[in-house]
Amino acid sequence: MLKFALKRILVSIPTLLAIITLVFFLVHLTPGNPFDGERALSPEALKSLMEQYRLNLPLWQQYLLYLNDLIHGNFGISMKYLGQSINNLLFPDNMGGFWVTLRLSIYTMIIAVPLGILCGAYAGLHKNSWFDKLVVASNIFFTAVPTMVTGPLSVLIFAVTLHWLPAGGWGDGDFAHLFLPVVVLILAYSPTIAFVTRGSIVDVLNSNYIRTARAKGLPTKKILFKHAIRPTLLPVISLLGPMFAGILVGAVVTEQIFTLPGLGVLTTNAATNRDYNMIMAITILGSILTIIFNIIVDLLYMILDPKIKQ
Amino acid sequence: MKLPRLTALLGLIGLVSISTVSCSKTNKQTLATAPTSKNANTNTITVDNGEDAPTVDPVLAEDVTSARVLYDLFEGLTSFDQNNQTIPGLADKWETSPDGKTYTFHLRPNLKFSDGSAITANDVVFSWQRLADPKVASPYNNLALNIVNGKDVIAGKLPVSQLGVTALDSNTIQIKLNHPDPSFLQICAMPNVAVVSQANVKKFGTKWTQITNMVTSGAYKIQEWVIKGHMTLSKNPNYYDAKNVAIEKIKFMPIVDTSASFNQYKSGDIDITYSMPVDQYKTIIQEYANQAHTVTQEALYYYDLNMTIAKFAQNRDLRQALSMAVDRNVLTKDVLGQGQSPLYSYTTATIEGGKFADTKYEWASWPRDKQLALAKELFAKAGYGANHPLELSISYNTNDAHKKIALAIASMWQQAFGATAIKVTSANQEWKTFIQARNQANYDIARDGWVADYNSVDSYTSLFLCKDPTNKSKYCNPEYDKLILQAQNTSNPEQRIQLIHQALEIAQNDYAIIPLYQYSYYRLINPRVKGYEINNNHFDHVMSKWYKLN
Repeated sequence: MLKFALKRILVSIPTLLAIITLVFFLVHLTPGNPFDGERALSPEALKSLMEQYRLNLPLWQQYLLYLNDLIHGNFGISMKYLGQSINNLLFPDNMGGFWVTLRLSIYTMIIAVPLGILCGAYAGLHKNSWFDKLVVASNIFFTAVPTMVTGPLSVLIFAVTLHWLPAGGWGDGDFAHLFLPVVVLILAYSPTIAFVTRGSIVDVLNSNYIRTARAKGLPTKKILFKHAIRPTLLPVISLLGPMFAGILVGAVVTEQIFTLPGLGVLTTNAATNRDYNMIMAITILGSILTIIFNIIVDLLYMILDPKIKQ
Repeated sequence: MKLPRLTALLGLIGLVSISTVSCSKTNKQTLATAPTSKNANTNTITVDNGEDAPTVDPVLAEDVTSARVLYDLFEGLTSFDQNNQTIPGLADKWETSPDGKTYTFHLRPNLKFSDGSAITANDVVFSWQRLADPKVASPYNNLALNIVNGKDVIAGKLPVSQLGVTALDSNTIQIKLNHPDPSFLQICAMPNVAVVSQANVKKFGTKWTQITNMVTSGAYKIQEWVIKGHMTLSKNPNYYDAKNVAIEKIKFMPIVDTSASFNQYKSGDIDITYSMPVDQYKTIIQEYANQAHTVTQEALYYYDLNMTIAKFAQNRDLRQALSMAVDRNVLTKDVLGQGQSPLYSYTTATIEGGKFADTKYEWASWPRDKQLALAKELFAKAGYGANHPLELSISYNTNDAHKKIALAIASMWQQAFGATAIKVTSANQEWKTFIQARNQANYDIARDGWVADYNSVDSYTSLFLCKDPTNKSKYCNPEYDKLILQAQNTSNPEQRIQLIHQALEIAQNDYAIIPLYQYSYYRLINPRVKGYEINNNHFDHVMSKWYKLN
């Protein structure tokens, strides 16, 4: 398994390099300049900034210098937050940036995953019961009603009307400030997990080998926990990897609604301001996270399904 | 089929709850009570700043968000009061030479930075030199253009030491100008020329703005800054007027979404909003009449007509026809309806105390029918009609309000000239793409806006100078430039006003832009915050040292 993991990591290096190259050139070729604004800079000031950020050099030279910085773990300096290093913006000493989103994602997944799997499993085992219908309906409902709606609605009810919780902000990362954003994210992700689990368990329970196990008179508990659980979890696990990476870099709406200083807001800001270095850093971070989670998913697959090992 | 019924039921519950919560507010006729601030028992005020300040380095700041924070952290030789009038700042007195070209400032005695070190005339000189230094690349280095040698220092042709700002002794600074400028004392109050510590900047280089390193000269200092989270300022005990600074802590929040900001205001999480959700404007100003403020802003909204394309460059009649056919009253009252004022001039009626209020187009006061009749006549004279339709494209950066305005204006033109005589397309572009296209004159008609930095008509007149980088229509009339230059060089205030009037008349009659309206800005202020007189603050220069609590 270790060999497999190492092989996957090695294979992912050229993938990452391809992503970096593609995004680097795409970003630099997009119309607009990080220093274009309503008030045009004086030619000397613009020249000085272009030199400071090496934008005066040919693109291939910029690319090579960027790769060199990257090898040394340096994402460069932000073009929006002048003088601030990207490393410091993404991973600040005082809670912010990646750390906020990481906490948000972990809390969300810790609750959403068991909740989704349990609800989905129960619904699948009790197909066509009222609970099963609730699981299916809530998946449709929360897919149709996105965080853009549940977020402000929860703020309106719990913060503005009932005054139970703060309407936004990070506070010091305390429970009260995190509660609503985490609930909103759970509502967004948990029903999907439940829906996929339900579908999977229904499929597995209808499969021939389960029917054979039943025919042989195995007790239901044994059938479920020995024979059904592994294949049931396969599609769920393949969903969780990208989902976790997705929350880490893509909780833009939730962060905006609750004014959280996470990665999502930095991403949208970087794109609209042509903060080349920030766009690159977030893309690389997102790619690395996706690759890592995909490897973890593959490893879990191997544990759950010995056939894959071969 | 029970399942769809259940889904429908859940959907219905959702919709009903959304509409109940939103309608329960809109149907109320009574005034909303002030939210109970979460800071109620503390000496803290939480302010939404609309965005995170991109920088806290005075010379690098170019946006209102940074300026709002910098007004608290730093102070210049002069400062602003709540009516945007210039008052003494770090300098408590000054003299002006008879020709108006030399200013001598005297610093208050025993001034100190937040770290307790002395503020001297050398720090002032250093701060001005940083502004002009091309290596620092200040977007506002134009503020130093009128200082002796300013232009050459900015262009890198002379060293910064040659800039006409000198320390006569440790408390006295002399600033020499190329030509007299009645707004120079206002420039001295701008955050970009606020005084920074030479020793501190030299010690830490570009890292001097990190909160552990930063030393400030204003009423507050930075205590904590979580990027995109919050920035907390605490009172600077070494500030010369610290005894009159009432609020111990100011917490700035970067809330981009105006609805989120409004919600946080209602829940008491913030005391002062940056703006309001404009789609709820009418409801909010009724419900929160005692807390919601609409303030006329010193800013223009206009359309640039691209003077580098033949369609406009050689057709003044067409330019005038397009300008006259826009019904600014309908635009401001019906299409927008958020307190904006119709604009019929290249400047505002409020700048410099209304000295240029009479520069409106003569036809501004005509009845609409008469305006339309002349517009139609000019349009036909320009050579366009059903047989030879005019094709135009309006470019704007992607934004609902800009889109609404473009569509309204296109329909006004079609109504005025006939649907077959004019074909208007609107082209929205993402912000940076739009800015680049507009700077390169790659458009037919482009949305534009300008916020005056200080109370001088120069903020607007520079927009129409031949080679000025802010002149996006690429309009050029040497006669206009000549009159503006003459106005700058005269030390006679009445003559200056007269020359600017003449210049504006020339530019306005050339119809290179279509002035549309004067902006307003909106703010909700919790009644616990006293001392903030917003209604005359047309420039939105705000300082937390004004705030008091009940």
